[in-house]
Amino acid sequence: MAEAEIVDYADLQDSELMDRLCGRDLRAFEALYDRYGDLVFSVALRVVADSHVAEDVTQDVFLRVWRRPEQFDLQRGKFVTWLLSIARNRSIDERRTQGRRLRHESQAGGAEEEDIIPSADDRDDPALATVLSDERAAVRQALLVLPPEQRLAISLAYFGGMTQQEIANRLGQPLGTVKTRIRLGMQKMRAALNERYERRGQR
Amino acid sequence: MDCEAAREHLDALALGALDTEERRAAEAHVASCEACAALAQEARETAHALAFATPLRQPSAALKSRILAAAAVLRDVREGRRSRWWAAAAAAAVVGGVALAAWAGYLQMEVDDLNERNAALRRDATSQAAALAAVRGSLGDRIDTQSQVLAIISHPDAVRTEMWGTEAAPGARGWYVWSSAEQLGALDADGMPPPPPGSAYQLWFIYEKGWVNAGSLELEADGSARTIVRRTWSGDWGQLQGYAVTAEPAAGAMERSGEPVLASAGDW
Repeated sequence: MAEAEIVDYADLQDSELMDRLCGRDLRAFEALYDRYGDLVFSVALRVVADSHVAEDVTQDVFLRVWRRPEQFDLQRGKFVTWLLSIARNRSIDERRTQGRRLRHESQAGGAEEEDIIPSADDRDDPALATVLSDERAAVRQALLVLPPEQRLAISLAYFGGMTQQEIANRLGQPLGTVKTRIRLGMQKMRAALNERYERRGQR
Repeated sequence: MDCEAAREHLDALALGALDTEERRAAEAHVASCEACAALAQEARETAHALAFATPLRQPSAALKSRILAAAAVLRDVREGRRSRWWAAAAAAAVVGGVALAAWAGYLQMEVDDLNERNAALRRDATSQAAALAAVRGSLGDRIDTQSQVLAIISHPDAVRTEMWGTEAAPGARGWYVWSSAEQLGALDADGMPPPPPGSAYQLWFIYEKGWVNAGSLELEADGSARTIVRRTWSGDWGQLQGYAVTAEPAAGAMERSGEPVLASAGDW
């Protein structure tokens, strides 16, 4: 019993925390929030460009994880990928709703295009010291090797929630060109990420 | 869709950039092909690296307490616990009156949840419809009571009064919260002994000029009890002096006959 009390949740792996979540362990949930709350909020903020809306999205995302921890399947990938996919999808839904409302009021909806494209100027809020920062900096570097037109097409899809056809329309480019940019860009990112993971002895 | 065609689509699928028809076809193939499923997973991890690398920004400090309070509420409702969650909600209310927002989000999720269950049940035999109605009914009642209690305790004007067991029930403890803005109150008690056979606990408002019946308590097997009070009485009863719980005939009494089992402190 004493053993159960000295567990430091901050030391547990994501998958161990998720196991505890299945047992309705609120402290495990808190540890996951401490680890990823800022990240989920930041993704939502990038997509919806409004901090109140982004907080609502963050709340939905975490409560969904809390309600349905069994939906996470370690066989199908890393926890953070699963969490971010929920965050991204939920944010895009919100961006669309927002877009409809704002278009109704004849304004642009969601974040402006240039705000959703990863750039060399992206910096973390200096107040946030996170254990993930090295890994995240590496991933950001991998993004920055992409030619701008590939980064743009990928970002419009991922953060803008646009289909390839919508991107083609927006950019005034043939659909085939957009598809190629997306595939090439993703290939380069994959290669850059794999290289970094291998170098770091991960995977 | 065959492997070759599917693989053309996996990157766009991971980015959410396929139109509905293409997405369905690609997902159907991935679901049935292990090799493509592995590639699809790799594409997903690449795509979500975009999110992973997003520059970090800080949400408000209240967000964490809001989410944790909502999670505690959610857990206790699921487990059918009814007395402990509102401590968390009350704490969150103190933090900044954020519990109501959390509650609204939570209610929406319960509705979604019911709809999910509904969809699942529809796939089964129609005899399941009765089960669904029962689930909906009990959940609805519970949410109704709890959301009222939450509205009461998180109201800024809410006043909380401690209540203690009398000699008849030395182990009993409780509290009563009243919001005059909402004209709603809630009582929560623990350690209540079973009432004498044929009787039930009733809450009374003690005024200068008399005791007013505020309804009967729901007593659980574990000795906890609670009730929601909506003030329906009027008239000049003078100053309110306290609250008491007595055992009365199970049919309900308009005039008090029993001695207090649980009561607020005071001169009455």
